[in-house]
Amino acid sequence: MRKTAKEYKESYHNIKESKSIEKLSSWKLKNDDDKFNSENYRKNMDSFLDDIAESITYIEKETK
Amino acid sequence: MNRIDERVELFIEGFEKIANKLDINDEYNLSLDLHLLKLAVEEYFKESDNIKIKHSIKFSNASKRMALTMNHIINNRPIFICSEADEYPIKILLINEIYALYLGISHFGYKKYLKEVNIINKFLYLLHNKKIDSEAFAIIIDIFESSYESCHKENINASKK
Repeated sequence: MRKTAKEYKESYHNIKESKSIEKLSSWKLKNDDDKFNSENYRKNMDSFLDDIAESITYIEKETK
Repeated sequence: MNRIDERVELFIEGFEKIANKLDINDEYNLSLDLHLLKLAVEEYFKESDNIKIKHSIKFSNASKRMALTMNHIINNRPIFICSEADEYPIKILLINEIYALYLGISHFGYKKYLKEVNIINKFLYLLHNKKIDSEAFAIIIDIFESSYESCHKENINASKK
């Protein structure tokens, strides 16, 4: 069964706390990322879902 | 929570949303590699920093953010198919490309041209078949936008006449 987002987040926090993931890079974020707003981003994710799904359906029909 | 962890969590949510929307069932046993996802996000921030230094800008625009996101997700390919089916549907074969596009495009708010099937398919084609660096990708997105806007203006002017 596919893991849920909640389970993935828990796994992410576990591996982050075990520091194994930190070893991948010693680089630390210098600048904040622009005017990024996670709530707006979430809304945009919802607004594009149908369009992406529609495109995939279209491709699947075309390639049959 | 720092910016990197916040972004990783958003992308985890994105994985669940797109997998549910495309009705990807358990048969294909898709798995998201969190190390690769984190690496993609880190690389995104590194390159974003470099671009800002190179161009002496404080903020990068949405097309650059979209291009950087797509580029680093597609380079790291964090979604794995853990099944051995004889045949896979397109949505499974292109799952990393779809995921990259979905996360990238979500940097924009409502843009009519970005919601058109033809445009989305062209982006998927580019992601799947062409190796394009993120700056070139950002320019392509800007060209799409400006050509769409100029067509839109022409249509408005034509309807006024």
